[in-house]
Amino acid sequence: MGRYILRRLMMVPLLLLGVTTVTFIIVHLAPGSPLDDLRVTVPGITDEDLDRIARSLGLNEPIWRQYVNWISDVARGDLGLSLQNARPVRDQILERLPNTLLLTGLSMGIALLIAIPVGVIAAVRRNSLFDQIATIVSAIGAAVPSFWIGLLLILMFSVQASRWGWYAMPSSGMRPVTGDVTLWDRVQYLILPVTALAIGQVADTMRFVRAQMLEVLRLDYIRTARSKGMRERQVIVRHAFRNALLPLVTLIGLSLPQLIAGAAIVETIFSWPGLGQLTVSAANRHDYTMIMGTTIFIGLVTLLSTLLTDLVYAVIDPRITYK
Amino acid sequence: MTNPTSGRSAIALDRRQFLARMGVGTAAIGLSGYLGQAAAQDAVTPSGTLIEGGPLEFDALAPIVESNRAVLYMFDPLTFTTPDGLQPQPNLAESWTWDETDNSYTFVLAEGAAFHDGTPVTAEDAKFTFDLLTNEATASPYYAIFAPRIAGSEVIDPQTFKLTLTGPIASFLNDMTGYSIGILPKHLLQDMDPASIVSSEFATTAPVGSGPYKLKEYRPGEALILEANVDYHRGVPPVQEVVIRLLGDSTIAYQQLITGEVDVAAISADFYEDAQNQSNFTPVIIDTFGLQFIGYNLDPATGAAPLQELAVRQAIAFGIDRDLIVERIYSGLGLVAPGTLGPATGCHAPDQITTVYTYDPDKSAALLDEAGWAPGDDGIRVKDGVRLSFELLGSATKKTDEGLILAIAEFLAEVGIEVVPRFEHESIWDYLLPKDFQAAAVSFTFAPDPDQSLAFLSTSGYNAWSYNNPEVDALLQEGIVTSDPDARTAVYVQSQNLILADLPVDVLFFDQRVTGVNNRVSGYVPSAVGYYWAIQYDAINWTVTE
Repeated sequence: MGRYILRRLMMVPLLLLGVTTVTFIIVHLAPGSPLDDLRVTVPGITDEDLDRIARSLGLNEPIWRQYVNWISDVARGDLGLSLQNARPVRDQILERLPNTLLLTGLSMGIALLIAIPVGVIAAVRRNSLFDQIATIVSAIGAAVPSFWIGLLLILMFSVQASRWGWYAMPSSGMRPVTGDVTLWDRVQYLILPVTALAIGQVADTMRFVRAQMLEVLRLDYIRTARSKGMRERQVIVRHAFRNALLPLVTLIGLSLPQLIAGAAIVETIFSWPGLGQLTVSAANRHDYTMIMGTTIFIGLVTLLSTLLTDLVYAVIDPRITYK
Repeated sequence: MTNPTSGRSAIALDRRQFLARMGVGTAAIGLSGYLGQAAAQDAVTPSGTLIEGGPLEFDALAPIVESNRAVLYMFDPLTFTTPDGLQPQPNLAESWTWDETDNSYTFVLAEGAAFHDGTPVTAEDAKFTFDLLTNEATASPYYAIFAPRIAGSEVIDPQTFKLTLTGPIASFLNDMTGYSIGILPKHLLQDMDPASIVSSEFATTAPVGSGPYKLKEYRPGEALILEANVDYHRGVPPVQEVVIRLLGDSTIAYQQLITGEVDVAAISADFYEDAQNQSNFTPVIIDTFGLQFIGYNLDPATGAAPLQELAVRQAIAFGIDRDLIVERIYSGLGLVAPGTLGPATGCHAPDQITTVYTYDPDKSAALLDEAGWAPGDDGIRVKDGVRLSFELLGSATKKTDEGLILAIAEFLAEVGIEVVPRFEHESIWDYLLPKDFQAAAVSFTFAPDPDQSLAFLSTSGYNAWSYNNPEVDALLQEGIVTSDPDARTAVYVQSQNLILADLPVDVLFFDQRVTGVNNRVSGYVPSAVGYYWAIQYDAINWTVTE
């Protein structure tokens, strides 16, 4: 087991090297440069100034050279400074991380709390009215993108509500910008973005749980349990659900990176100061170091959470061992 | 990066967003009004909060390396400029004199002006600031603009500062405030390597200026919270807190105007019509220093052959219905007026412009007939085997460019000219400066001064059109050294008439922006100058009601 973990960990730097190389090339090949805006924002800026700024940022060097410079800084633990706001990339990632975790963690938690019971009940009462409604609603929920739901929520509960003089939800942001912030304030700002994110997750997870349950309920040991005269509740909870839960661990484990990467678009439309918004804005402004910083961070979290999922599997499923 | 310490905050404000995000209110008040107000307000206790919609992030919070609205709130330049007429007024400098013999300004600093940490502002600070600006090692985007104009600076005494220029430059004070060269505190920065100031805590998160507002809290990605500087030397700002919400997106800003979550925010043209039906805020139109035009490549080696003919360029100028373009493509936000100097600039004199092109397709066709361009089989005119066709370049990332170029193509097809649209993703200047274009839709923003040498002087680095008229060059140079407003206007009327007759560029309209202002805000001054200076001009006049 120890050797297995070690082997997996040794793969991490290699994989990150691959991911960052590809990303680095893509972001540098995209048209435009971090200095494009200066022509507009500073009327009369001279070529001399632009050259000097490009040189001070190292942008005048060939791409391979820039990559080597960047990756050797990273190897020393330095993610560099943002090309746009000159603040350390690492600080900015860390300052956004809790905001993103709050938003995505809460929506994932709520999604699981709703989706698991609904999925189990829908499977147990297959083809009932409850099952049919749940299936249809979840199909819609899975099909509609979360940002669209988000825009709809803002339009309904914030913009229209305030136009009609009703109680209006905050349309965007994370907390009030003035005065003392109470817990209720925080909750108000969370309701719309969490709902927008959770709807899709509820739909996906519920369908997954339902499918898993249906599969398990067909198996012989369930029939055996029932034939031995066990109570139905015990059959469902202890025998069926616990086994159906196993693949759910994979699903949750693999969505851990999503917790970190955030919901880029939902964060953007709700002006939520998280990692996703940071990444989108960096991409829009050709902030190469920031894009690379978030890429490597999210890449690392992805690799580690896959490893974690595999290990948890070994713990909860005695059929699996690693050598 | 090779040298992380010198990592320059490359992009200053997004000027277009920034331009659109400015002070607003009723009519511009005169200088007397401002002085009277300042004196009357000594007894005021600041109250209330004004919330602005701002960009998604501020790249820096200090002058010299950056110019944005946050910098303007916190840092005072020596002078500021009035919104009407672009006249310099006292700010940190309570008075100044101009010495023709050695081309120097001598500024007397205001008594009682102090940085937010209580240290008085002295001539040492002013000298320190200008030394940094003219030091190549400071990663300032304004270095090459200012360094050639400044010969030296000198501390006469703690309250007196002398700045020597390399010649008479009428636009200097406007430029100084235009690029918001606020005065920096020497005592906090003198031990720092100039190259590292841009990435210092001072410039990124903890600025200390002498402006009407000081930083209370900076929450990146969320908001910049400023509080009134009750010791401000020009009077106590009546609004206790100014919050700039970091929104970036124009849709979010607009929905927050409707919900009242922000009081002041730029409104993008898409929402302008809707904004006119809103009750809790007022959309205010502001003339800017921006100009939308078609620029022609007049270099015969790289330009389109037909465009080298003045008659063709005149035919194009008469063949485009500018009013319709503004109305349909820019939601009415744009001013069609004669000349190259818009209403926001000091020397705007539309009545004296004699070369005017108004939409007249018949005249356009007649000009082409006369020049020997006869309609071919497909309706496009031909002369000596050459089709009257040219490529019109626009930005693929700018939504309005597509509409503009297609509209121009349609208008010109009517008179037998073929326009081939071309869109590029890179900055348009990547094509203009290497002369890789035939004609281009250009949105050109000038510094807030009537001097347009940047676009029309033959030696300017931005003369992508290869325009060269020695008479215009001479007039532009005369304008730079003429400080009397009337004399300067006369010079620029002449140069404008010549430029319009030569048509190196075809002015379509003057850019206008619209800002939404909640009805609870009063005392804002709407002006192009406000993009930069409304804060210094009138921060001590705004009020908000709860």
